[in-house]
Amino acid sequence: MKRHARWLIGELPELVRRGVLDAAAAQRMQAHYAAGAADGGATTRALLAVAGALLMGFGAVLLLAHNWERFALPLRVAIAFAPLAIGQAACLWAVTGARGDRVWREAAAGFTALAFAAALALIGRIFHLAGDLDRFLLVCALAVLPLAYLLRALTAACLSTLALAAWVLAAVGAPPPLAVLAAFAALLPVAPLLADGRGAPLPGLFVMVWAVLATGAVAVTLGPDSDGAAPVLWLSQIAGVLWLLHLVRPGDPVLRHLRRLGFVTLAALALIATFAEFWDDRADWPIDTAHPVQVVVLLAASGAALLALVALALRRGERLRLAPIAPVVAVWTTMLVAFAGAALAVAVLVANLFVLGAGMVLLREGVRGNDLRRAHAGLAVIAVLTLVRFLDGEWSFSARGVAFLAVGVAFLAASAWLRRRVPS
Amino acid sequence: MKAALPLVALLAVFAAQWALPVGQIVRLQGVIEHGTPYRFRTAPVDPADPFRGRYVALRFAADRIAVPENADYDPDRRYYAPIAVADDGFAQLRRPLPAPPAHGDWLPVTVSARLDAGHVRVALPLDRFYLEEGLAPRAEALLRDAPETRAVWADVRVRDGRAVIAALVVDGEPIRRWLARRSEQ
Repeated sequence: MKRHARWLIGELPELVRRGVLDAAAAQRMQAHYAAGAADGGATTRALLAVAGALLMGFGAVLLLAHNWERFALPLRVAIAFAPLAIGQAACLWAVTGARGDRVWREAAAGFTALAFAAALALIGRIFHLAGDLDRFLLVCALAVLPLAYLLRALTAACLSTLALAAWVLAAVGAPPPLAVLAAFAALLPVAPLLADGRGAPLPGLFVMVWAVLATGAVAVTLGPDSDGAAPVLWLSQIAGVLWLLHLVRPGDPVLRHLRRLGFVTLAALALIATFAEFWDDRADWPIDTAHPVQVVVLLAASGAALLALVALALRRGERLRLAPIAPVVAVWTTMLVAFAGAALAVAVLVANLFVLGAGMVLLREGVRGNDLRRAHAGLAVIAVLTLVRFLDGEWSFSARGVAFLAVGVAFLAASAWLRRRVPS
Repeated sequence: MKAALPLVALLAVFAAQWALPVGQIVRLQGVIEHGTPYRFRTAPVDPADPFRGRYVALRFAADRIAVPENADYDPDRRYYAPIAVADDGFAQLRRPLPAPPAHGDWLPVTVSARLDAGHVRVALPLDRFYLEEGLAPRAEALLRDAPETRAVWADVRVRDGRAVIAALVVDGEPIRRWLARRSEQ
């Protein structure tokens, strides 16, 4: 957008010279688009400053964590704390001297977050503390979290979210799912504070990062080694909620991003569910975890939210919007079928039929609506499904190679036929 | 006043960010200065920590504990193992208890495996000794060579259930001095 604005401003003199625009209109257009074009520079500056601060932070961690045994204990302690002191001073400057300048806020918050982690790691090294990565990551996440709020910094918010997700992965024995959700929930209110008034999509970016990591982290806590039915049910229901959430506030840019995320997750789930191996790991039902009540609470809550959104879609007559949440229904049905002792082959067949059907519907809608992009998407879905089927088959590599070639040729031929039939 | 609130909150966060590691240093330094010294027989290997650097990972002989045959231990629960000193001068751990003993030193442990009817393996709050980047792999390589002929132990200070490794000793010498002497030979 900013690139286009700069191009348009560059074109204005020529347009005036040719008489397409008068000088006054050109001036008004220049004033209108100049702010947007200038913001591109500010964003680049912010990104470079943040990248520089983060690299310095990582550099400090690496330099100080290695090869420093020759220093005396007081000097080592001083070195461990020096980056933290510098980072905190930069934060203070960002708030007072730099009058809340975004570049300063982001860079100072990112550097301080890493400096805190470095100080903690170096003290562990000085005293030869046992490896407790999960506790280290949790402490870092919680210590950095307030910086995200007080400095309104995307860097600190993202680092804290990442540290929380890493904590869940590193934890010995899954942490309680509700505690994990509560920890992530403490970060979400920072999103509106990240808006800078210039239209940079920082809140949307953070909400996307948050949604991916929070949903994934909670899923990890729901089953032994992320296996079993519960993680898949949770992921599919949350993906359905994300897909339909924009119905609550149509036009909201953040919810529009989440809608895309929900769609991609649902599509990925649908495709993964076509593999027989996927279902082998999901037969652990009833729920086999240390916190079964919390698992049921989370599944019930996400299911209730999804049902409420489905009801809203039906009230508004938007039945077509419900099509992508079919995998949620399929997953639930299959889990119940598996629970009842039926063959999992039924689940694999249902998943394959669903993806094939989705591809055919897309293709048909594309051809009917003269929409080449949609028709190609349908074709791509069918092609991907055909290709992945060869991955779990027992064909020789030569046979698979020939099959891949055949599918590729068929795809190109169908695409050429579509181009002739549907105007782009 | 209202404008100063974010600044006050920021300063409070900074204070908390200092309090946590400083408190840790004070506690651990207290263990080193006032803790009871013990020798734990050990065998080293050489991995790396992505955040803290290269270290010698330690496997302690004391992590194998004799327990009654019918004793049942929850692997997700923390237990408290009293420390005793054997006739050879090395530390041993006694049967893990559900609460810290009223007298004597102890270490918090988790029971990681049942080895046989009468023994369990526990995870200790000591598992590593940091060394310079170049020294740790060399130490591991040298110690792996004929390990049965060498006496390797950790000098550990213990106080109120906290333990800090003060030195890693090979054949009676701190490991850095031992490595330096080996380099000269």
